[in-house]
Amino acid sequence: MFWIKLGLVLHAVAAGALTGSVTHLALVVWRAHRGRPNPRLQRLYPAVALGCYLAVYSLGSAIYPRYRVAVRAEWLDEHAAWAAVLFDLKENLATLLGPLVLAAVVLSRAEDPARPSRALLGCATAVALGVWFNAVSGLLVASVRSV
Amino acid sequence: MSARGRFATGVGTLAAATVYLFTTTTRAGVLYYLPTRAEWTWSPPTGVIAMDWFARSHATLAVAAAATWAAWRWAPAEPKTCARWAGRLWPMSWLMLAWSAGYTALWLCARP
Repeated sequence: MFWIKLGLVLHAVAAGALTGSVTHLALVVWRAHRGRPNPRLQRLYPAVALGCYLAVYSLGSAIYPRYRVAVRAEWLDEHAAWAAVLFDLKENLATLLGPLVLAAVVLSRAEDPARPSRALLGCATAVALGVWFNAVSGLLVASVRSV
Repeated sequence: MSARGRFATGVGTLAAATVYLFTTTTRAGVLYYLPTRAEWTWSPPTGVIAMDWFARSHATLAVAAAATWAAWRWAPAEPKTCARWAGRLWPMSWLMLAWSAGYTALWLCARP
């Protein structure tokens, strides 16, 4: 039980760092698109985001089976089905965001920082929106039995 | 370099979204994890909690990484050819990602 709780806390901490890094990434890429590039940050944030994504993904995978049995099957499915659906949506969206995080890392290193492509703009924006959706969803699901 | 990057990531994203959508819609070749028994199986018994997310998710991410690497490695040598292909691949990738997300949302909301 202790390791599961520790995993959940670390998962949340890594998710917070991921949210921050992808939000900053989207902002610096849009700023570069408007003619104010910051080459150092445009390469740093994608790398940080990838590291945080892998940490969130690994920790989430480790605690997912426990959630599926002890939380969803034993409580959510009966009392708050909407939260179970929202959680599954979040998990699957996280999978779809993975290739975009990888693409952001590759593109940020392959492209001229002063001229980010529409592909990089799209990746940074989609990942930021998706991660924010997942962070809020995770908070809502975790709050079902707290407040 | 830029065109090569857009080409490689376009291939990787499209391949990953295709694998995700295929495994979600058909369940073909999906390995299930049984959390109550701590076992993996191709055909889960009825009445037992079975998770298909691990196989689908790991396959999607592995294909994204492998396809991006392969496309970077064997990208067309001519930058203009790369750019032309990247321009075709990325719209298809976005379409496939949107289709995957939309299908997943409808599938989960319709689940009994």
